[in-house]
Amino acid sequence: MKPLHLFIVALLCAVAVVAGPAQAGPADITVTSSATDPPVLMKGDTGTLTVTIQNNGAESVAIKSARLFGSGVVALSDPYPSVGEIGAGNAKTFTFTVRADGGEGTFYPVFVLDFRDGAGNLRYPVPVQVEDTPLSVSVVGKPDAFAEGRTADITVRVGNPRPNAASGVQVIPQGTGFTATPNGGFIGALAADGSATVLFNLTPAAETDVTFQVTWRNGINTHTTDLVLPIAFGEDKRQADPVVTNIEVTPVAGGYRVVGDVMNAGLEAARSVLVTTGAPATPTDPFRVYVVGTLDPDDISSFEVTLRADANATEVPVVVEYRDDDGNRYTTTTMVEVGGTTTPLKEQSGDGGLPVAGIIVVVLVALGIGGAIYYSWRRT
Amino acid sequence: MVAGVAVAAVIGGFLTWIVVGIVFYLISMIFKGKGSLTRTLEFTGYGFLPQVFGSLIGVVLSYQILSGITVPAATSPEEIVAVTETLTEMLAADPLTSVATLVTVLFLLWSANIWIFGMKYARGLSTRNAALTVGIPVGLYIISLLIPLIGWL
Repeated sequence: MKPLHLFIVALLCAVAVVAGPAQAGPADITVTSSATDPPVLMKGDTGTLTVTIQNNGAESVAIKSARLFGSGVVALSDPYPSVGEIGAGNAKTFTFTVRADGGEGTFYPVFVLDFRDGAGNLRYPVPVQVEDTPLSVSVVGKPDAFAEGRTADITVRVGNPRPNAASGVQVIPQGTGFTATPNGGFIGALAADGSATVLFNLTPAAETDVTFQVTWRNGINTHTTDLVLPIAFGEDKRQADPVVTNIEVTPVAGGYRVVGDVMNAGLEAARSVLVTTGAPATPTDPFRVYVVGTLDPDDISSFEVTLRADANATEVPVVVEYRDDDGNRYTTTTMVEVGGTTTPLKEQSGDGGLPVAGIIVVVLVALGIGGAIYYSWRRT
Repeated sequence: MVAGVAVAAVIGGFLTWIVVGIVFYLISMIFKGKGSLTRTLEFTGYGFLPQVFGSLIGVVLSYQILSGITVPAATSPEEIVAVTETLTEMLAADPLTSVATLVTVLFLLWSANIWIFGMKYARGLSTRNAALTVGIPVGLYIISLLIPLIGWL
């Protein structure tokens, strides 16, 4: 061995002796896990980012500070300015408040650990997923047509197409010109790819728009989704349809007697069916109103009404009133001819006897003529 | 139309006068009446004077009856029959029709009273025979008028 080589070996040994026993270094610190709450952020959401590190070495490691930085997902909380030592085999968790300021996608804010004594630092990019897909809401059940005052069953389905669960999900119908029962539906937690339905009994008072507002939370962030359901009144294809047929008009004292049949040609029952006459005709006794009652689909019932009409009237309306199961009132009108070969008979006065004026005329004439006859016979 | 009805009414009035006079003349022949037919017709005509007043009241009553009626247009024979039946039924059922009938009967009695005196002097009959001459046809006519009225009452 050359003297130079021997010197180098001796120097290394001396350094080793001066340095003392072996110590753990930055290489022993590893990031064991990271998580965000909520697991998937939406744009603008605020959440927490938790990073856990562990010292896998045999000695403690001195850490100066920990911080998080990056774009797209930014840290709102302050860095950890003085962390201290982390013992051998120990783990430590760092939690940062973050906000998704960027668009959708996966962002990698960087977690930085600065070691003491110029030992460098640890940089660890933490994946954070941002997805802006809201809950979906749809109307899966509603009547063919709405009618004023008629209660309709509306079924609203809320689905969660997001990759994480939503909490505190509720549906609230909003707007004016209607009443809804219940006035809000609570679903609660909705798992990823899950769905739930809410049934509302909605009674419109006028044509309007009903907004079903779905409110839910993603972590601590509240979000809403609206679904607008236009309420336009129309004819229900299943509703009762009373049809008046077999009409027969007969003149009676003081007016007409109308007999006929009323049949329910609809698919729902007509309840509390009444038959009467409308203007310009005036209902008269004995059958001002004819009560039919309930007419089930395809049921038929006869009716009879009496009325008084103008001498010039050629048609009078026969009005059928009925209610649906919710008590809403409907009317249908059928025009009936009273002209042509029929003429109303003049109403007799009082109880059908001679009118008072007529009796007076007869008595006066009788007295006058009787006097004339008596006078003529008296002269002879 | 109205003129035709008026002419028919005038002609009908004269025909009624002549027919009534002839009827009285023929019946009085049974009681050996001696006056001429011309004189019989003259006195019969006097007896129609109360009918003028009766007609005036009848016009008023008829107006009252008919004013509330609208006769519908009827084109086919079936419709005409139906309208006629309805109008007949309506007129028969009207109380003023009964009043008009009673007034007609009263004025007819007045005319009959005049006719009795007329036949008495025109045909030279006794009061009894003159009353029979007038009373038989007039009575039958009055009965024919009152039968529907009695049935209605």
